[in-house]
Amino acid sequence: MEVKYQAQKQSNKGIGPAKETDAVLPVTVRLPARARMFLFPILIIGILILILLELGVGTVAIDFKGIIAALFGLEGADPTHSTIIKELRMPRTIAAGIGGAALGTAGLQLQTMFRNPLAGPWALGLTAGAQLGVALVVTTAAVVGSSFLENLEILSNLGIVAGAMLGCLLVLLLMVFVARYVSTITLLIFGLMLGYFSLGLISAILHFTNQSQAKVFAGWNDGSFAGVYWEHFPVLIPLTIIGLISGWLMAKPLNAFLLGENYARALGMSVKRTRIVTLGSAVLLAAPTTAYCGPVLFLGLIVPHLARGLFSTSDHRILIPAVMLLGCLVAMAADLFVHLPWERHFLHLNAVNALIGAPVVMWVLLRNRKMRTFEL
Amino acid sequence: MEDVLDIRRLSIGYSNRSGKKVVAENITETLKKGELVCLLGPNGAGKSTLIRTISGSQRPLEGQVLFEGNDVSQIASRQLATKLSLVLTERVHGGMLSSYEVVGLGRYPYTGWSGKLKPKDHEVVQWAIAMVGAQELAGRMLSELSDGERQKIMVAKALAQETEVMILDEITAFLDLPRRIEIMQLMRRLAKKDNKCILMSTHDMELALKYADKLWLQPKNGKLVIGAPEDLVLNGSFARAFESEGIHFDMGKGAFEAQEPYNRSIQLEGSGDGLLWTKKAFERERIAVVDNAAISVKVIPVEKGILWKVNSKTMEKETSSIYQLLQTIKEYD
Repeated sequence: MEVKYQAQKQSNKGIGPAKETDAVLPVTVRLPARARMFLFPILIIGILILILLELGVGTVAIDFKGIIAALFGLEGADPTHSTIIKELRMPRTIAAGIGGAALGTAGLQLQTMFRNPLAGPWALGLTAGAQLGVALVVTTAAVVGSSFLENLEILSNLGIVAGAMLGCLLVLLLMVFVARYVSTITLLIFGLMLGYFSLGLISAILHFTNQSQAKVFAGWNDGSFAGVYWEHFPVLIPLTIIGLISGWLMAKPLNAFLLGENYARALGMSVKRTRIVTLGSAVLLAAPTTAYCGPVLFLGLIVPHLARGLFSTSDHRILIPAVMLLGCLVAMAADLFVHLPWERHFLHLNAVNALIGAPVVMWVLLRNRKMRTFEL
Repeated sequence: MEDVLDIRRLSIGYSNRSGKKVVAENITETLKKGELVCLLGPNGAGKSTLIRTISGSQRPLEGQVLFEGNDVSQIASRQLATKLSLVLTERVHGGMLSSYEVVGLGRYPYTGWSGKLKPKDHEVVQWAIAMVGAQELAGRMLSELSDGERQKIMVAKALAQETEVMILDEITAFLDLPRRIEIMQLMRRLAKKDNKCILMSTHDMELALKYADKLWLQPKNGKLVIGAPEDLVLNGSFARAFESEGIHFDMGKGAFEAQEPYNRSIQLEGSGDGLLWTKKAFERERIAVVDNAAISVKVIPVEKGILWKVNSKTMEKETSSIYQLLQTIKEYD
């Protein structure tokens, strides 16, 4: 499976002068990514299978028939099963899918923009920034009187997202500023330090809140897709979709960015616009997911590498849809693993991400000869 | 020949709140199609600033650069990319893009939002790859290529932009000599066969002298001097631009030489390549070749190579290599 572009001598007429004197040898190119398009339907099938597993597997096992019956409200649907699927498993599955796609895409964008293979929402401190924002909102609510925010359900909903986005954005702006002056490795250290600093602030801030809220915050802080309910989607989904679409629209400029800023500019790319749209999109992707699911680590870092390894390219026109699907798939798989009917709920989402994600990235890096040497 | 770029009373440099630093001023010149122009100058003379200003990526302090009558700093960047292409010194990594895809990015200003290449774009890309002779490299990843191969691909990318003007900023800086010659020949071919207007800055004085139609000499703190390479050598501009202590320009050889005093003199006889290269070795060792000296060396061609006979009052020796010859002369002391 490879696409060959064969240049014929006669087909070259009319492109630039002096063509007839140059013997144009045929250029045969194997573009591995084109040959791997079959992976897209496989990914989609994988996601569909995982959705069914997510809905069916758990402490209460529900078979395929039961799932269909519950989903479509068919006759003979077990009401308990319907409730479990509709109120618990369905929102969790959707949140995992959306969160995975969002974090994977944000990771890819950040890796390309910062030209840093280790970049990601977590490594650059964006996740911690969002956490800090949420902590501030939660604490303010506790101090001001939570009844105010609780009475306006949608407002508190928005408040948390706004806090996360603000924290995320501030960290990102700081990182963009710092990136001008420091090397890639230093930038990562800076991002990690900023993350730890935010975490320090968070633990200080939490002293001002009451115990029950601190407990809620601690649960959220572990990272889980299980805390997302239907009422969160009107905020989470539109923001994420705007982020995904604006990210996808930037595929062409991001490709030019792979040649470096100077070359990209010389090709007619507006560096400023690309940067604003792409980083804005990364905030729209990382912040709402973090606001609702807590800090989900690792996904933003590993998914782009998996996509590059699988499709063997850096072409963002292929990578962006690939990280969306792959992010969706990986997040659902991790979530499924957490919610397998264990005797005790012993693994957190982030632990699974690290336990599965890290070895997979190592395997991809070692297996793909091209990835061993690649630099962004 | 058709003028493409018109440079009018251009002053280049940097300005900020505390004032401005003028690197060079009052440059007026035109760049023509079909000409290869080399910009030479010592480090820090402002070659890159000039290149950046002419390519529209930096604003001039005064004056204008006109492309077919339009100020390049006013042309929209996407449109400018169809008129003027750049190749830079910097090493491009390109992630996991193949060379073909990188050359394809040269079509950036022509493609739609998704950057999809149409059949016509593929033809141009292939033509560009063939022009630089990189057919073998097209399918390989850019990051796997050597520096020379990579620069070839970047030149092909510039060609794929189908611009009349190509501006190259020290693109041979990291290349070895054969690769540098190859690039210079390619530039000359593009200027002549493809009627491109090419401006390249370089450190390679000897190659520039050999291949350029015109030289721009930018001395440190001086005025840009322009002319055919040979004219600039004859009127002494070339020597002046690079003047510094201990280095002088040898007009006969067309190269810069270290001006260290000779530390001994030797009589040398012989003919052919053997003599020529022995002289070069003596030049390096700062040994003057004179008509009458205490030591004499004869270069004698023999069946298998060359023999060097060293004669003096106290010694008579034969050596089979220049290295041995130099050792023998040193031992004489």
